[in-house]
Amino acid sequence: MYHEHPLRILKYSAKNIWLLIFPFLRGLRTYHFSKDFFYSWIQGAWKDILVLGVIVIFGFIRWFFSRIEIGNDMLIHHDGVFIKLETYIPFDNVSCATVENPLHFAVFGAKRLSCDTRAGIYKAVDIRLLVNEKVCDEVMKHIPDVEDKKSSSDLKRPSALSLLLFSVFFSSGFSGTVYVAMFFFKGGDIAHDIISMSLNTLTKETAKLTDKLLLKIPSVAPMIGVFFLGSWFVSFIVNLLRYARFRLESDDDCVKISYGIVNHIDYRIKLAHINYTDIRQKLIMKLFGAVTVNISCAGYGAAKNRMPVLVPVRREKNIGKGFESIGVRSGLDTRFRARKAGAGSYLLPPVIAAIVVIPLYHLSRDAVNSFFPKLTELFHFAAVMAEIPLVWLVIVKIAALLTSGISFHDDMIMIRCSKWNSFHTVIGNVGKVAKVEIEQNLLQKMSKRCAVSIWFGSEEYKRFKVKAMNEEEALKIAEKLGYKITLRKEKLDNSGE
Amino acid sequence: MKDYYPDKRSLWAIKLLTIPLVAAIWAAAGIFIPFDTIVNIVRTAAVIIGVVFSFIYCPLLFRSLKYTVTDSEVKRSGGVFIKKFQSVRYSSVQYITTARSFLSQYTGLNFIVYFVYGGQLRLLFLSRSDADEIMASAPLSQAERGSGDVS
Repeated sequence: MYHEHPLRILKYSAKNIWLLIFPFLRGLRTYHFSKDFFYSWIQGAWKDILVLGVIVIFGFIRWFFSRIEIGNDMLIHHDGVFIKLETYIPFDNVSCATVENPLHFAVFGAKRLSCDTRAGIYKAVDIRLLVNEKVCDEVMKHIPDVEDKKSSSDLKRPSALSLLLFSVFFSSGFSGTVYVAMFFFKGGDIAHDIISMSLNTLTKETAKLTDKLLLKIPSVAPMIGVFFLGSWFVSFIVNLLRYARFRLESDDDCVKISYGIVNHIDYRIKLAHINYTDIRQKLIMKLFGAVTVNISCAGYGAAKNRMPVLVPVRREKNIGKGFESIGVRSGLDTRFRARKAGAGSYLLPPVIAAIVVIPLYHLSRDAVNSFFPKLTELFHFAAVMAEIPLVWLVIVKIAALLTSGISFHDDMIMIRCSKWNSFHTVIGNVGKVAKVEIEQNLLQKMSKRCAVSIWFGSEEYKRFKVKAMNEEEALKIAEKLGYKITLRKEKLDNSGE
Repeated sequence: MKDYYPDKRSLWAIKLLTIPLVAAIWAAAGIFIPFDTIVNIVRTAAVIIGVVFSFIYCPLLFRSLKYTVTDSEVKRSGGVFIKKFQSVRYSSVQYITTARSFLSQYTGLNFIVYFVYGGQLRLLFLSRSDADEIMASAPLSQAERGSGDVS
């Protein structure tokens, strides 16, 4: 039997115990250092220190009652003081085992170990423990590893350019803004002063710039642009650090993936437990023939802000090499394609949204002019900024109409579809399809078209929908998947036979 | 195949636990709420909810719950307002968690949760002996247990 790493006591003590550091720092700022400083501080703060001590003692008791038992074929975690919890996880059922090595834990020899099975309906990890290296190695002995002899030699390490491009394509101004906001809220007053000063400087400089260049754009526009560019850059750097040192090895049974600098993570994934492979592209990637490959497997990509990446960025024509065992193939034809005559189901929503912005802007402009005159320029700028992504979405949906479809290859199904501004090529075993749905509205009924949606059995409830499919072909697809669907009403036989 | 039913002692445990809970709400209402009318409403509501839960809802629930364990599956049926029938095959069970309260051999507060593809199946308010018997027959219980030494 083993205990978790003693660092866990801090976590059990109180989640927000670190917040006490800020009043402590504030207290330090107001006190002038003298011989009696420490004594007078204790006199004033002894109750706080006592409460802190009690919190830590409770954390220690909680840690003491958390024990790990490693059997021959299962992992058992005993937890709880008054309510005893015991979790039994057979090693055979573990789909993905994760070992995280954060830099700040390395000094203490601590590692975060997670095991996930295919149970449940949420992406939450089934068990997460903070352990030392000995316990971690003991558990990982029971998790399948890539055997050197059987390892696929076709897999190449992703190049630095591949990782750079991946971070460029998958960083967003929004996530960068979230990081800055988190810093703002968690850092309290100190962060507030730093960020406010920076924003004031930025506003003054952009105002000077627009005056000098005599540009007829609102001065807030470049400021917002710079802010989002800066946020995107923060997200870009975070992604670079997150996915750096990306390594991939596989054999017939297992895939081993590792990446990260500040927090180096190792994954061991059972091939048989991979639900499907998702080859993703953005529009710009599509123009250059580049793709990124993700996999769906319980536990991989489950953590916050993690993507389930198998290959960061690669040329689409090279994607099949070395990945056949995982089900990744390239150069496959699409047998059942979306009908061009059904373009309305792809283009109508984004086109209507893009058109509606213009009259809405004109209708609201006068009201904004009268009630909020100072916001007129910003309102105009916001209307332009709202139009750009909608026009982009129309272009994406045109490309989706031309490429979407479904096909079968041996025992695999391939679905080409799009979600918002991403293109997906999903490849999975026919046996792992959990649900099929065919949708047909009145107009589609007349023109014998429909939309086909497919779900794979996985922790996430993710739908892959292909619109504007021919009705007959959709029924063939359902039959190939083992589902008998009829779209016409059948007359009920009331004779009882 | 064997049928199991909730332990009646856990019903008494629930009733005993409800008393201090209602007392805590009674006291908290008096301390934190400045308006007498609202205090009285909150106190009355707490007592009524406590009485209905302990003396009406829980006994009806206990009477309706039944668990059946066979060689290949576990079934649960019961419910007060809506009767639910659930069945889970051992082959789809991924892992199991058990929860036992302090002095569970007297309180009857033993729970087993089977985590399966797409959800969970919960066996609630079992006696200690029933919980041990069900775990012994579960497919995950064949493993050797580790030693008692802690490091």
